[in-house]
This record gives sequence, C-alpha cells and structure tokens, in this order.
Amino acid sequence: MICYYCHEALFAQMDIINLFRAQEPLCENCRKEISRWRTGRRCTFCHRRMTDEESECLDCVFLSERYQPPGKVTCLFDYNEVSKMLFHRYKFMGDCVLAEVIAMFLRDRYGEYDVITPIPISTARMLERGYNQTAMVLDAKGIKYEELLGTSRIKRQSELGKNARSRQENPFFIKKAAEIEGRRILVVDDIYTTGITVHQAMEKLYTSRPAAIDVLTFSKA
Amino acid sequence: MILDHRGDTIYKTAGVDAEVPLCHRCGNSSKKHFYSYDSPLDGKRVTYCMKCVSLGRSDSMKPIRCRPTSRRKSASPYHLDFDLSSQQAYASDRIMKALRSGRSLLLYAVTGAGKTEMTFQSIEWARSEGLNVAFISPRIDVVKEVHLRLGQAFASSDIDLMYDGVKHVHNNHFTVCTVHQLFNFIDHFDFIIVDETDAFPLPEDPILMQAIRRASTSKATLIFMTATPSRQLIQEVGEEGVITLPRRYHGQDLAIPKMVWHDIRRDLNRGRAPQKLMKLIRDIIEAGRYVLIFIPEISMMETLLKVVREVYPASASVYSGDPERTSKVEQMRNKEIRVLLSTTILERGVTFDRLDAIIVHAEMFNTESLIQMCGRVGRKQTDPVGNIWFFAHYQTSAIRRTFRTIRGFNAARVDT
Repeated sequence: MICYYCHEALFAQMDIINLFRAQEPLCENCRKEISRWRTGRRCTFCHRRMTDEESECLDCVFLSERYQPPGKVTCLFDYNEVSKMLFHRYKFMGDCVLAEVIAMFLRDRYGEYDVITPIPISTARMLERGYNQTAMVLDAKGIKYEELLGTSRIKRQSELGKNARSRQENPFFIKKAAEIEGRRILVVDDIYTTGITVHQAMEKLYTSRPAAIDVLTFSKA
Repeated sequence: MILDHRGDTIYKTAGVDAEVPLCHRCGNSSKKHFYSYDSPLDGKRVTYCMKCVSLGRSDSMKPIRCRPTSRRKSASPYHLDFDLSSQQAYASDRIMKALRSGRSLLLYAVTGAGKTEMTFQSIEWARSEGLNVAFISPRIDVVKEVHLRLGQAFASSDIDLMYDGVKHVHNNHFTVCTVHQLFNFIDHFDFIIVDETDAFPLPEDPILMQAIRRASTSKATLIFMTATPSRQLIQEVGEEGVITLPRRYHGQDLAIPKMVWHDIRRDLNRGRAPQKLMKLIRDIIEAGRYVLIFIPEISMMETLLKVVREVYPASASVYSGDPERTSKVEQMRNKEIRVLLSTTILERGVTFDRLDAIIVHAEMFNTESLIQMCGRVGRKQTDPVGNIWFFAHYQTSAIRRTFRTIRGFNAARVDT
C-alpha cells in the first residue's frame, strides 16, 4: 500500500478500530497538508478568503444580484498549494487514483438529500480526460447520483476570467426534469472559484421547482 | 531515441503492459505503483503507472511515441573569469581522460570545491565531437543554479533546461535536467554528469539509477559528483575510479562546527524564545553577517519564525512546497533578508555571501545532510571560512561522523 499523493509506502498499525476497515490510501503527513486551511477572515457563506477592505464577500454579493443562491455551501478543502497540486494532477495529468483520496473526505451518507447530482462536463472534455472528475469521486465513495444536467460548454472555465465567465450564456440544460420537482438536491462540483458555474447549474435546476438546493464543493479557490 | 507524444514513430503500442505489469517509460514494475480502473468513457479497464504520472500519464490505452536521437558537432567555447586551482585542473584532466576512454568516475569533492567548473573542459570537447551531454541532479534548485552557471560560461551554446513542468528545449544535444526527466530518453546521452549523487531521492530509488543507465548509450561516460558518497557508489565505479578532492577552490580549510547543547524544541513548546539561539543570531547580525538556520521540521520552523521575526523583521522561511521559495532565496542573495530559516531543501547548491549557518536539532539530521549544510558557509573568495553552530539536544553518531569527515578533509593534501 502506498500513499496515493506522495507515493511513499504506508505502514498502518493494526488496531481494534481499523481492523475491519479498508486502509486509507493517504499518509498522515499528506492528509495534514491537504486538509490545512490557510488563515484569514473568510466569507461565512462561501468560505472565500476575504481581503481586509471587504465588509461582505464581494463574490457572494455579485452572485446574489444575478442568481438565486443555494441553501448552503459546504467545502472539503481549502485551495492551498498542496490541494492545488492535487487537483492539477487529478484533472489535467490523468492521475485519477486521486479520486479515492478526495472521496476519503466525503461523508458516508448524505441522507438529507433526495438526489445528488454532479456538475456535468462536455463531451470534448470527456474524450480528452476520460472521466468526469466529480462523478468519479462520488463513484469512489459509492454514493449514488443522478446526472440531472448536461452541458454544451466548449471552453475551459479555468482559462476564463470572472467577467468572461459571467458574460457567457448558461451552458447547462436539464436532462431529467421529473427527478427535480419537490426534491432536495445536492449539487456537487470539484472547485468553486467564482461560483458562477454552480450558480448557472442551479439556475436551470430552480426552473423545475426543487424543494431545496445545497452545494458541496471539493475545494474552494 | 527521445520519447515524445508528438513524435512520428510508435515506440510501444501501449505505455503500460497491464499483464506483467510494466511501465515502458519509467521501467516501473512494482504492482503497488499501478492503478487500474474502468474507464467511464467506454467501460474498458485502464491501467496506468503512478510512478511517472508527473511526466504525462503512461497507460495501457495510449501508445508511446518517439523521435530518433540526432547528434551534431558544435563548437562550444566557454569562458571562465578565473583560472582553475591546481586541484580543479587535476580533476578536469582526469574527467577528460575518462571521457576519451569511455570510463566512469566518482568525484569525491568537498563542498565548495568548484565541481561544476571542473567539467567545462570535457563538455566543450564532447560537444565539439558531437556527443550528447546531460548535466543532471535530483534537486530542482541545483538544476536551476547549474543551468545559470553553464549558461554564463557557455554563452554561445543553446542549453536545454527541464524540471517538473518546465521545458526549455532547443535540440536535446546539451541538457540540464532533473533525473526524472531522463525517463524520456533511451540510448541518447554519451556524457552524463550527475551532481549531488547522494541527494534524495536518488539513493533510495533504484528506478532512477536505471533511468540514468537507460538514457545513456552503451559507451557513455558517467561522472558522479558528491561530497558524501555511499559505499555502494564507490563499489560501482571501483576504487581507481574515485578522485578525492579535499580542498575548497580557494584553498582554505572547512569551518569546524561549534557544538551548543540545548533543547530548542522544549523552549518553543513552552512558548518562550530559545535564548542561546537568539543571542547567537544577534551576535551574527551585529557582526554584519547573514545567517541560514536549518530546522528538521516545517512545523518547528513556523513556530521559530514567529519568535525570530518579532526581533528581526528581515527574516523568512523556506521549505520544498513554498511557492515563494525562489523569490525568497533571491532576496537573501540581494541581502534583503538577514535571517533565513530553511528545511534541508537549501542544504545543497546555494551560495550566499558572508554567511553563517546554525543547525537546530542537529541530532535529527544524517551525516550527508550535516556535511552539506556545513558546506554552505565560506564559499566565497572574500569570505572563505565562515562559522557553523550545531544546536543539539544529545550526541549522535551522525554528528561525530560529520566532525571526523570535516577534520579528515582539512588534514588531507591534494593527491596531484
């Protein structure tokens, strides 16, 4: 067994607690590094690090003027140097074993939701990468999900600035409208940068009158 | 040949043989370094190699492409601002002889002996004969520094630089890179110089040694350079293949470390400043000098930095994952930082003027690291000795061996 992040050998001491549990593929040190949160004042809603001049999170203000917000935003890691590298390797270098590492940080059950849905990726991205980075993590944890949305997006979000992102037309469309009405939905995204992607996805979902929408993101840039 | 995803020949129809398993790029065959999953795209089982994934994934689906090796003679004159010392000239001649006869050498040279300069003559000759030259090291910092120095000396040559995500490639004839980058070369280099041969992860990882052999042609000359050779390496080149260079290029003795018995961790855990250390830093700064403090753990470094920064605002810390590492080292060079805290990451390949070194909890480092850290001081002609202090809680055999080795170097004469 090796740590999937640093590739060092893992030596686990067997004890009564972990005897019947699968060993986690991450060493103690990497776990600590990945889950380290940078210090600083954060937005209480989206967990973004705010500058000293901001009295309220400008991103959230910007988004709430244009979109209906989710009930809450949950976030697994901070976007520190280590988790940045983790996502770079996972998304762009094809190191998809890291899905198991991210999945370690998810809860076992999300019983308060009726439907869990990942943000879709375009066919072009799918052909290039070979997997949907969000759905793969849910698969690794064994969480059932429905692909409620599809996307017609061509360009990479990470190549665009905030203004260019907000000016884009909403690329998402609904695939399974029947699954949405009256349901409590958890939308899962990999990295929440400006929040525009998630809010565009929710904008479509809200048109089918769900009971509630919350957002889970793996990392908050 | 050179493995390149834009190449027009197919080297292997798949990068990974999932049955064995074996990665055709890095030669990894240990099962635990492979990962298999069912592709969500077409449901097929995909296996990829985790060992070399940072060079672009090698998997059981995509072929590995390659380009053929080319050789071109080019006059590559170099320029040095100073003459080689007699010891350097001797080593330079030995490397030259080894290159002509196609044998390998181990250069066992004290830190600050001027190892890089000793290779210039042979590099010039090799390039004029059309041999492909690689200067490699396991450390990114060393690679960058060497590229800078070679670039200044061989001003008219195009020198490739490759590490991590950085690739400045002209024609693959003259390359400075990390060892990992050699996974992409097969039978390509005729002359390979390995700097800091004993630095992590080269001794721990047999696959990297294998990569060096695979990247070199059958007649290639390998030059290993280090201040702390392992027994295994000496065996590899044979006793007659070892050249010992006990003097620094300026001929001065190495500084002998001074021991201070003190448990700094205890002070930090109790939330107080380690007084002996603070007084020492004050003395160094009042003498108009700069100080590099080595610390065995990042968490301890952060605590200590807070304490030091209260008194000396011009201080900083660096570690391997630090995004501002390069700029902080640059600031130290420009004398904007007076106190620099570091993990073992700066133990090699850096030179600062008027530097003293303090090693905190010296009992936690091994001999190789301690010798390298001691080698950071007194590297300039204008300040040839410098001072070193070991702060230790208790004595260890590694500390004793460090003293023995340094005294041994100082006592030895040049065997010219």
